[in-house]
Amino acid sequence: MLPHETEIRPLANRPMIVAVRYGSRPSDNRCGLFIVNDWDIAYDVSIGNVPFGTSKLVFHNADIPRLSKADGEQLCET
Amino acid sequence: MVAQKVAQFDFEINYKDASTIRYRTLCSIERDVLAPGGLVVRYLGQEVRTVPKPTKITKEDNVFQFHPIEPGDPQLYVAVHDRWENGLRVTEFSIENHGGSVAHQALLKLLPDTFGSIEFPTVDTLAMGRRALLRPTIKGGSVFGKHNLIPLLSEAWDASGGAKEDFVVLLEVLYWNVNQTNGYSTMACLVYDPLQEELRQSGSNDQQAKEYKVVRIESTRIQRRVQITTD
Repeated sequence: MLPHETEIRPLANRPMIVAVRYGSRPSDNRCGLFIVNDWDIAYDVSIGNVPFGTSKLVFHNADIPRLSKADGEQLCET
Repeated sequence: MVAQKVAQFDFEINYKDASTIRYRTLCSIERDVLAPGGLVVRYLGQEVRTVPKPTKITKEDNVFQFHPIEPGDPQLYVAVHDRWENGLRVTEFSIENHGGSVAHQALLKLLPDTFGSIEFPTVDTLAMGRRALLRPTIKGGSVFGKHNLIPLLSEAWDASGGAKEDFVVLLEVLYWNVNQTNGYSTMACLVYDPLQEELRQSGSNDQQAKEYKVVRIESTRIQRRVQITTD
């Protein structure tokens, strides 16, 4: 599909990754940001570091090659 | 966020679909005392992303990529000790090289820089199987508490909402191999347990009180740190 065709692409055929919560995973106590993909399969998922003030929030494990709806919540450690 | 007086910040998640059209989801993290952990995540919107032209990355930009470690790399593991010395409470870190070569210029720091008032000595050389003790010094701290991080952690936990949960501070040790050609990063979580501290303070006797594990290290991750340039 060409870039100019994206406007007419049905929403449900797009990937839609959202962050759902920030906290820890009870199974292994790892903490960070939890993301999910609500719609179509997404590739090359990444979250950039976030500077605020004199600090920086760094997301580790935030380069995900493929994320589908069936994968459920994915933890990006911070 | 509390120390930086930041109530909310935005971030973006980038990805593409099977036809390589790129998307960006905008989200925010906000402080909310009523939310679990004191933070709430909000979805702001999704947009189709236009790919920017490649920019030149120089060494001065300090852009790094992380890769898995390889056999023969130095590997530094961190431990934390909350102990008493001559009647004064001391928080001491130790780094131990479990890797296959010598680590050089190891420097520990707590992230984010809200804990920037804490200084650690640099370890020049740490051979395989050797351990080094790192005692933090709090700049401007009192003579009796300048090596004790517990009050700072307790204060930060309190400022985060004071939930009866562990308070986590990220720490990083940066170091090099023997030729200083490869950089490494050990990331780990310094976990402060306020409940243990409360139990320790209400302990019936000093010996019992000292046995509570108020701080511990979790989730250690060691990676190669490769600088990226387009030169």
